Amino acid sequence: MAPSNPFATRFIRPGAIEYLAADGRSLDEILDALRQSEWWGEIIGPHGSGKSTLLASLVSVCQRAGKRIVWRTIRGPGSGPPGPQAEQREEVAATFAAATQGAEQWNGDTLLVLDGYEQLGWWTRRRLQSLCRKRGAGLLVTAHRPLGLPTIVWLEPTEELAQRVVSKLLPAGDETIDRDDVLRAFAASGRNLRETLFALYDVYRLRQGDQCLEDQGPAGQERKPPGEV
Amino acid sequence: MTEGIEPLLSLCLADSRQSYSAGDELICEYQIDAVDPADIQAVEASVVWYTEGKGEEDMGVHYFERRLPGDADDGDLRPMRRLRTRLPHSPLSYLGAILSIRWCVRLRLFVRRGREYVLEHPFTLGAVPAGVIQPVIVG
Repeated sequence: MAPSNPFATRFIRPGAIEYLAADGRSLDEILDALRQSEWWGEIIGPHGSGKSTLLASLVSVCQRAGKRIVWRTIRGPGSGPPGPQAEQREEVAATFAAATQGAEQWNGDTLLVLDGYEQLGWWTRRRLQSLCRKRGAGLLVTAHRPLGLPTIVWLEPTEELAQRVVSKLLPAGDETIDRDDVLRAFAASGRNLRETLFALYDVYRLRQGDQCLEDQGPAGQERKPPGEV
Repeated sequence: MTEGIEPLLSLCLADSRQSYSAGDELICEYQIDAVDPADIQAVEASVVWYTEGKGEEDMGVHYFERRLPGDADDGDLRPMRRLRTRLPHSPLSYLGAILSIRWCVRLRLFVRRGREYVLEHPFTLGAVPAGVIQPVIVG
């Protein structure tokens, strides 16, 4: 069976791929920054910059530091036109209820982690912050722009970082993807790391496909060793 | 745990088979070494399929066993153990452009301090085309 594509979701999803910092800061240093801001902070970065990947890695470190993690991923609004006002109010109420489920048990050891914080409206964010303060819980969020919490990390993917991520994913000795492939994909994706990896999935698949066909030779013929006529 | 040495997990499919047909019996032997038996918290062996591609992942567990020290003679989970299971009729292994379905036997070792080690041994279920499907322009 063909080898796995190293750019498949199972290898690049948050938690599966190791967080690599563009600015060289270690997870422990980021943890210190979060601790100094009394466990309140935001991770800022554009789409596909590694916010969720950092969050997944950081959460493990926070757990080791004694924090009890309550993780909520905020889903974006539907792609259709906005519904009637009553429906929108219901959606906000449902989002708040989902994010605060079990809040009566939150305390100083709790760290509420919200991935996609900017999807919440201003009022919902205020209510969540108020609830966290009341319970003494920490609040760690990801967003595309600053939203008033202490900024712990500001992610800006670089070409060098994209190269490092790809090197980590490729099996040792695998040269299916080269430096120029990464640079092209990174530029074409608008410096979006996630889209870069998805684009490389296709490049890898096509090249592996070509390799498979080369190995088999023309249909119905046995492949001859190199040099043999 | 033995200081400085990673536990050694080994998996072997009977007759070194790499491919099976639906309904075939899969027999596998596994063993653990280079770890103090007192450090082992649990061993899990499973036969699973999973999707691999650009989209969301899916998986199914066909066979699963979890053994704790109390399940083994002398509390030692390291000695060779055999599992056997009859494989189902679906899903068959599949190699697609944006999605593949893969099967494997997976061995997971849980040791003290929350550390975990995983070994997977892939195999195919059903006849899988050898080549990757090339894109076709329609219209």
